[in-house]
Formats: sequence, C-alpha cells, structure tokens
Amino acid sequence: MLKKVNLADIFIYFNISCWLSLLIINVFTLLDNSNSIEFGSGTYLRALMLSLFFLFTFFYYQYRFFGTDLRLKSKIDLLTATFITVSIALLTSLIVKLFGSFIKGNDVFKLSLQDSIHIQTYFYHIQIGLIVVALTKIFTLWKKMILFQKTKRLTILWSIFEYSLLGIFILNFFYLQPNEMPFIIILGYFVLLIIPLSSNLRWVAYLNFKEKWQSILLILLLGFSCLYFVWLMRNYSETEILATDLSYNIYIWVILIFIFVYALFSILVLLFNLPTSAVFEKKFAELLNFQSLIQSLQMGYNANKMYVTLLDNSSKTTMADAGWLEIRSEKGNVEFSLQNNIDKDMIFEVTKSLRLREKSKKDNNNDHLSINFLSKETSSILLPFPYNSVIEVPLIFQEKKLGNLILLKKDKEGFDNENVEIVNTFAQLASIAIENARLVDKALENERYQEALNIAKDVQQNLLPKELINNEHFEMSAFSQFAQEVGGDYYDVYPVTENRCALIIADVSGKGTSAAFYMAQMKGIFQSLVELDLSPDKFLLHTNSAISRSLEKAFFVTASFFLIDSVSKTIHFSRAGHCPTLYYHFAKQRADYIQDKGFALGMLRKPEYINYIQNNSLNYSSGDLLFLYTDGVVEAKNINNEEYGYDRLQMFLQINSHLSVHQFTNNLLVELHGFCGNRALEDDYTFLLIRFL
Amino acid sequence: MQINILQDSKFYAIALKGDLDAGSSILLDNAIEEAIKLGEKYILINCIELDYIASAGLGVFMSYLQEFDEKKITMVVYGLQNKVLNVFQILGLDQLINIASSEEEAKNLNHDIQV
Repeated sequence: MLKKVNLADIFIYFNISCWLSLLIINVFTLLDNSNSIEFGSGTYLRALMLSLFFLFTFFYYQYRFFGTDLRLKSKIDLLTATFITVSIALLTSLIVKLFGSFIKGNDVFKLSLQDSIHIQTYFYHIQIGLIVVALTKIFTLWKKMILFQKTKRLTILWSIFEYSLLGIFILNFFYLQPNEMPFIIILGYFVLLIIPLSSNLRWVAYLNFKEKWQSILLILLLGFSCLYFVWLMRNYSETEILATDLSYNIYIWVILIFIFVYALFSILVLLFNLPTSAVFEKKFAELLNFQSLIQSLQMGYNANKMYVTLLDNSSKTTMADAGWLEIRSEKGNVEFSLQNNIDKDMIFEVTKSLRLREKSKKDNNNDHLSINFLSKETSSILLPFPYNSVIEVPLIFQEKKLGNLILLKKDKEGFDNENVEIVNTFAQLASIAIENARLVDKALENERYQEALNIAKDVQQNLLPKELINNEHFEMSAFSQFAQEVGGDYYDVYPVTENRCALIIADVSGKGTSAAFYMAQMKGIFQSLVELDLSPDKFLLHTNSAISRSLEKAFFVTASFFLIDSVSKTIHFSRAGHCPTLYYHFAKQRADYIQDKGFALGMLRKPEYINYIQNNSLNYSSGDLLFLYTDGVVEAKNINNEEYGYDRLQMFLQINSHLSVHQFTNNLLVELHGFCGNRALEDDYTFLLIRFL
Repeated sequence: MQINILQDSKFYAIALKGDLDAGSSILLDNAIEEAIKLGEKYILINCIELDYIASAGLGVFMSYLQEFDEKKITMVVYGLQNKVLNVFQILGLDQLINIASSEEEAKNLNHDIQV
C-alpha cells in the first residue's frame, strides 16, 4: 500500500500535468485560428483536461486532510489554515490580474491582439489553477465540518453528492450554458442536496465563545474571497477571449453555491449560538471534571488527591464561594477535613446554623440522610455573614455515612437544582471510591490476619506431642482437631521416670485465638510442674494457682491429670472439671465412666481449691483401655441438633475395644463424621486412647 | 437467645430461653451487671427454657461469684434441664452456685440463706 504522502505527490504531478496540458491545448487552439476563435477537435481533450484537473485537485485535498482527526482544537486551526491558503491564492490572483491589466492597458509593450490574447490566456490559466485550488480547499474543509459526528444517513447523502459531482465532469464535455434548462435542472438537483447537507453544523456546539467569533470572522472572509473569485471570473469572461471559461462551468457553479450556502448557514448558527455558548462550556467543564475525578479514582487510590478533586470540582461547577469536606472514619470521628476559602471558626458557625435547622426539621423527617436541601429553604436558616445560601451533601454508600460536603455562596438562592444534582453525582462517585478503598484496606488486613493465623496454627501444632509413648507397657493413639485455625484443646505425655508416665488432657473454655494462648500456657505449666513428680491433686493445685493469675474473668480450663506407674500397675489421677474419663475393663468387657469430683481450673482462684480436688487411683490390667476426650466429642451435633452424647461414646468404646489403638482412632473419626453428616464439628475436639499391655 | 427480665419488690428475675452461647452470653452478662448496678440482692435465673449452655455462658456465671460474695448478693439458678445440669455438675459449678429445681424452691432458698 502506497504511503499517503506518495499518493498525494502523485496527485500533484497529475494535477500539474493536466493543468499544463490544458494550457497547451488552449494556447494551440488560440494559435490555430488567428482571428477567429474556434473550439475545434481540441474541445473534448480540453474538457477532459479540465475535468481531470478538477478531479486531481479534489483527490489531493481528500488524501491530505482525511488522515487527521477533526478534534476540538484543530477546527479553528483548519479554518485558519484554509484561510491562509485561500488568501495566498487570492493575493496571487490579484497580482496576476493587476499585472495582466497593466500589460493590457499599457501601450509600451506594443502587443498585437494575438499576443495579447496569448498572454491573457497564460494569466487566465494561472487564475484557473488558483481558483480551483482555493475552492477545492474550502470544499474539503466544508466536507470535514459537515461529516463531523456523521450519521449513516448523512454519509449516504454525502456520497450521493460527491458521486453526483463526479458525474458533472462528464457535463464538461457538453458546454452547457447557464440559461439552458439542463443547466438549471442540474443546479436545482444539487441545491436540493446541498441544503440538507448544510444543516450539519454539530461542530458549532464544541467551540467556546471566543472560537465561535473567530469562526464567524474566518468564514466571512472565506465568503468574501469566493465573492472575489466570482467577480474575477466574470471580469475575465467579459473582457477577455477565453478558450476555457470557468464562469460557464457547472462544476464551479455547484461548488460555489455549496460554499456560499454552507458559509451562510454556519455564520447564522454561530451567531445564534453565541448566547447559549456559556451553557455548553459549563457542561463541558462538568464533563471534564467528571473525567478527572474518575481518573483520580482509577489511578490507584490516593485519598487526599481524591478529596481535593471532589471539593475542587464541586466548588467550581457550582461556583461556590467557599466550602469544606469532612470524611468520617468507621467509628464516626472526623478522619479528614479539607477547607476551601473558609476558616475553622466560620465552619463552626455554619455547622451550628445547619444543626439548628436540622433539629427543627427533625419532627417532619426522621431520615437523617436526606439532609440534602436546596437553598430555597435557606429562609429558615440563619447563616453567618457573608453567606446566604448553602448546600450540604452527605457522602453515603449503602446507607453508611462516610462524610459531608458543604458548599456556601454569598448570593441568595445561589444553588439551583442542577447544582445540587451535579454535586450529588460527584459525591456518589467519591463515596464509592472511599468505600472501595476501605474495603481494599480491610481485605489486605484480613489477608494479614489470615497469614498470622496460619503461622499460629503451625506454632500450636508444635505444642502438641509429636510422638506418643509406645513401649512394652502401653500403646497410645490420639487425634486432635481445632474448630478454627487455632484452639483450646491440649494433651500431653511425659515420662517422668522410667516407670512413671504423666498424662494430661485439658480444654480451655471457648475456642479460637483467646483459647489458644491459654492452651500454650497450660503446656508451659505442665512442662514445668511435671518434672516435680507431684501427686495429681497437688499438680492441679499448682496448675490452678499458676493459670488463675493469667486467666481473664470469665475463662476457665478443664483438665484431667494422670500418673501411670507401670511397675505397680496403678493409675493415680485427678479430674479438674473435665469430661469424665472412660475406662474399659478388659475382664468385665465393659466401659464405664469414672465418677469423681473436681473443680475446673480458674473456678476457684484461691488455695482453698485443694479442698475441691480429689485424688483417685485405680489398678489396671492387661487389655484395659483408658479413653480421654474433650467435650467437642460428646457435644458433636447432627443436623437434627442431637448431641452424640456420653451413651453413644460408651457403646462405641465397648464395641470397638478389640481394635488396635490406631484403628480405633480412625474408626471413631469415621463414626463422628458419620453422625454429624453434613454439619461440621463446631468445637475443638480431641481424644486419646491408651491400651495397657 | 432471649432474655426476659422481671422485677418485683424482692427479686430480680432473669429468664433465659434458647441457647446460651458465645454471642448471647453478653446479654446475660449485661443483665446481671444491670441488676448489680440497681443494687439488687436477690437474683433468680430461670433456666426452664434454657436448652444449651456453652463455656462462654458458664464463664459468665463463674465471673460473678466473687462479686456476689463480696456484695452479699444471692443468686439462684433454677429449672435446669437435665443435660444442662449435667454440665454444671461435671465442672463442679453446682457446688459454687445455688441450684434449685423450681421457682418456689428458689425463692425459699433466697430467704433461707443468711445475708
């Protein structure tokens, strides 16, 4: 594909060659016949050259000027550029004309009629070139203006017009006279096309006041230039002998009519739009304001910038004399405040007036959010001097009040419906942005919390024993699951001596992070105390003492502590409010809950606690099972809100007592999940099974 | 959970209905707090319609024990359903809190206890 520039060059070459050809033909024509002017065989060739000249000029300008876009500013630039070209053509034409006249009128040159005609022909051809170029340039500009924001209909209409123009070239061969019917009919046809085309003046709306005046001036000047060209053609036609006479050319007529009609329409429309110019400019300004506001919203949230834009744009659009913006945090206190042309004292005064009015209006309207009122109602507000009208626009997002925008004016009834609407729209945009940003912040914060929880989860996993004791005396299996990432269940084993093993299971009240910290403390206490080889009740007494100092008011911890002596085959134990331990007697083939008393830890935070703890012991035999668990197991609920309960657990242990400890653990998990069905376990749950070998 | 409060000349009665879990335990906390502020000396907790109590709820009861002792306030819990009573007993809370089986008994208990 040829570059546009090259194409343009081609057109220029063709153009010039056509023009030259025309010139040559005409000269020869005139040379041929010394005294009588005849338009012989060169007629068709002449017409052809003229047509081609028109055509190539036309195409040249098409290509040059339809690559660029007609944007707002460049309309005036285009007008100016066209005017410059036309002026140059006009001046050149004037010079040529004057020169021509000078030569003609001056006897010094002593020219024969033949030579005179000769020279005038040359001059006239230059004029032809200039006129055609100028007219085509204006035509092209008009085309651009008409096709600005074109519709489909318009495009079709214009195409018809242009093709018709192309059709005219054929008519060049017929040398029609202006007073002949065909000429008039064709003119009429074009006028019918030109008038609807000339009503396309949308570009006028986009000019500001100054630009409109400039356009009027330039178009007037272009019009006058064309008038000059008309006079010029008439003049030559009347005073010279011409082989090619533009003033009889229908193409030129049509172009001229088109130029004049559109110029007239343009000037009229420009004139009549001058008064309303201000309104359009205002609308555009508002649009631009919206754009800038939206831009500042999109360009990664910068709160302050957005607030400034909001207050600025609102003030400008409504031409407010002063105003301020306050943004409230979620808790309701003022997080950010921005003033425009107003000081803190005045803000205070205005706020007072507003609140006074609010109070008196409260009876009628309980909706605090519709404080947005027009200045017409200002009569009931007494604003501090010098202000006489005010609008208050709340920034609301989904019924949450994010802030307030207040604008003031010195004029009475300074704000109208439109103002309020525009500012409302700004405020809505801003509210969305503020809320968005808050949500993003929250989301980020949540992400951080989740991260932290995940870390806590890992840490807490490490607090539970990684290995249980499996030796010749017993085998153990355990399972623990928190309802959340972290929880309050705890169990641990510790070989105090070779033959004695300490065992603990505990459950901090509640679940989640608050329980998790106490769970960690329990581990610390267990690890410190266990080495002292205390009896279970003393162990719990000291544990109670230690943990009570940390526990908050409504917290408690249940626990069961066991000391297993594999030599004497006894278990010494104490229960601190924990779920009763389940013990399976292999010999009796039955499981029973151990009944003993004991206060939970943290219930009685005094040394008297010892009185409420029992020291128990039992002897175990080979095959016996000790089953420890937390309340999450027995309180597991199914979809009917039924608890798993102690009875089922007892039954389960009895039935599955023969299984290996690990199989048992697995089966119990299946059992619990089967019971709960789709309902997830809501509490932390833990269980630990020991088989005595 | 629903809380209904009935006040008469002698007693401040709090009736609990539903599940006393972590969320609703605050309601109970506020109610007892209110009673103490009003200077009540006899607080009755009606648990006839209390279906479930979570550790948070138990914690609320526990947290006031010391204050009741100091301010010589008598609190009686009555009408406990079996499984809820069971929870109290496992913890040993039944030994620190006055538990009655009926409203009558609860009111009488209040009279009996030396202030």
